[in-house]
Amino acid sequence: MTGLPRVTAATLDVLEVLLGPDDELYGLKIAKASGRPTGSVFPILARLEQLGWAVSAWEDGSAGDRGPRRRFYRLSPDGLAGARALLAERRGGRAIERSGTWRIGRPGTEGAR
Amino acid sequence: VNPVLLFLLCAVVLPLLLAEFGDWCRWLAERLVCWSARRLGDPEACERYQEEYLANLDRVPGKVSPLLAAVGYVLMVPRMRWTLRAGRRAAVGVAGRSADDRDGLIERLRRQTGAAMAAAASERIGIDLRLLPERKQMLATVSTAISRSTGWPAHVALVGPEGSGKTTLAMLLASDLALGIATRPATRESRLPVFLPAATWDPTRSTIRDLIIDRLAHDTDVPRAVLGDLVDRGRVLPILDGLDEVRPQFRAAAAAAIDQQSSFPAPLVVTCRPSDYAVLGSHLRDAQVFALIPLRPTAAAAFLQGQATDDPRWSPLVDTLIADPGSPLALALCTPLKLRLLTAVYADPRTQPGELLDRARFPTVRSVDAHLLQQVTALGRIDLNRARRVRAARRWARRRRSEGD
Repeated sequence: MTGLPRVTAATLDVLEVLLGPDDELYGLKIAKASGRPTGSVFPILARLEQLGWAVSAWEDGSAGDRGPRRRFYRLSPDGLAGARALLAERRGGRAIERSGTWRIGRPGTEGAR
Repeated sequence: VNPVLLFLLCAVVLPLLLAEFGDWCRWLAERLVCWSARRLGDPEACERYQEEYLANLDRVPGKVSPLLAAVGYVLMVPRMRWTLRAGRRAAVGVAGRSADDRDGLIERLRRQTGAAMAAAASERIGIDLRLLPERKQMLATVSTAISRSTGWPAHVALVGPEGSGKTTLAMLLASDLALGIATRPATRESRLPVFLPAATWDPTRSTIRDLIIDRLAHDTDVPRAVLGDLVDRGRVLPILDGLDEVRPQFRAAAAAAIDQQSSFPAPLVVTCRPSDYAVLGSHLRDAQVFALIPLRPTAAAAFLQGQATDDPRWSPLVDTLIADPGSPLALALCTPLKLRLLTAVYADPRTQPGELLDRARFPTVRSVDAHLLQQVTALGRIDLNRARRVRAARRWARRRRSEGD
C-alpha cells in the first residue's frame, strides 16, 4: 500500500483520549471524550488498529450474561511512543491550526517482512 | 368533537402509542446497527462490529437518541468499508508473500513468543519440572512426537490428575517447541506453538481459530488477517490447556469447536483430567494420549535432596521416602504440586519438615494433604519468590564455601 494514512485533527483527538489514564475506553466513550461523532471515531480506531498503533480486546464476561460485550481500545507500545511524539509535535505549543494533514509511518512492518 | 373521545385519545391512546414508539425506536436502531455491521465485508469483521456497535448502542440513553445514533452508524458504512478494505489489502500483501517470508515470520514469532512463554513457565512453577525425571522425560517424548510428526498430524493429549503438572508441562512444551526449533531455520512444516488457557474460553463465541488469532494479535504486532492465514495453512500449533476447566454449559460447544479444529492441517494439543478426557477426548480422533504418572517416592526424594543439599532439616524426610516408599507421606508426595506445597510450607529454616514423619499425627495420605494445605493457607500465599531467594542464597553460600576450601 503506497498511500500512508493522513493524520487529521480528529485522529489527534482520538489519540489524545487513548493516551489518557482510562483503561476501559470503547467507541462511544472515545467519541464523547474526543468530542467527535462515532461516525468518524470508528474508522479512525480501525485504521489505528491496522497500523498496530492501537489494540483492542473484548471486555471480560461470559456469553449472553449481559448482552453484547464492549470492545476496549488501548495504545500499543508502538502507538504510545508514536502518539506522544505526534501530539508533542502537533499540539505541543497548542498554537498549531487544527486543519492540515500529517503522515505517520507504519510501525511493525519490518518484522512482518 | 366528542369530549369523551378526545379524553380517551389524549389519556389512553396517545401514551400507548408513545410507549410503543419508544420500543419501536430501539428495535429499529438495533436493526440499523446490525445492518451497518453486516455491510463491512468479511464475516469476522461483521461479527465483531455487530457486537461492538450493539454494546455501544446499549449505552446510549433515551428512546429516540439510539435511533439517531444508529443513523450515524449507517452513514459511517462507506468509510468503514473503505478503511477495512484498505487494511485487508495491506494484510493480504503480507500473507500473499512467498513461503520463505512466511517461514521468516514464523521464526520471528517463535523466538518472541517462546521467550515469553519460557518466562511465564518459570514464573509459575517455583519447582522446576525438569528436575523430576518422569516429567522431564515426558516433555522430551511429547515434543519429539510433535516435531517429528509428518503427514496428517495426530492430536496429542496430556492427561493427568490435579496437581500433576499439566499446565506447566504444556507451557514448557510451548516454549521448548518454539525455541528449540527456532534455533534451526524454520521449514515449510515448522509450526508456531500457541498456549491457550481453556478456563476462560467461551466456545459459543469463539472457535479455536479465533482463540489463536486473539492470543497472537494480543502478543504480537502481526495483523489478524496474516495470523488467520498462518492458522489456515496449519502453521500454528494450538496447545489448549485445561479442557476439564471448560465450564459445564460450554461442554457441547467446546466439543463442536474441537471437531471443527480437527479439519485444520495442524495437530491440537490438549491437557485434561482423566475423567473429563473420557467425555471430551472422544472428539480428538486418533489422539496420542500421554498420561502424567504419579511421581515415584525416590524421584521426590532426589528432588528434595537436590533442593537442599546442605540443609539437615530435610534428611530424615528424604531417608524415609527412600526407605519406606509405601508410607502415607511417600504416597502423598506423588505430584509436583504437593512438592511445591511442601517446599513452600517448610521454606522457613525455623520449621521442621521432619514433623511429617510422625505417624501418630499423620497416619494417612489425606492427613498429610490437609496439613500442607492448611499451612499454605496460613502462609497467606505461596511465596515462591522467597523460596527462590532462599535457594539462591544457599547456592551462593555453597560457592563461597567451596572457594574457601
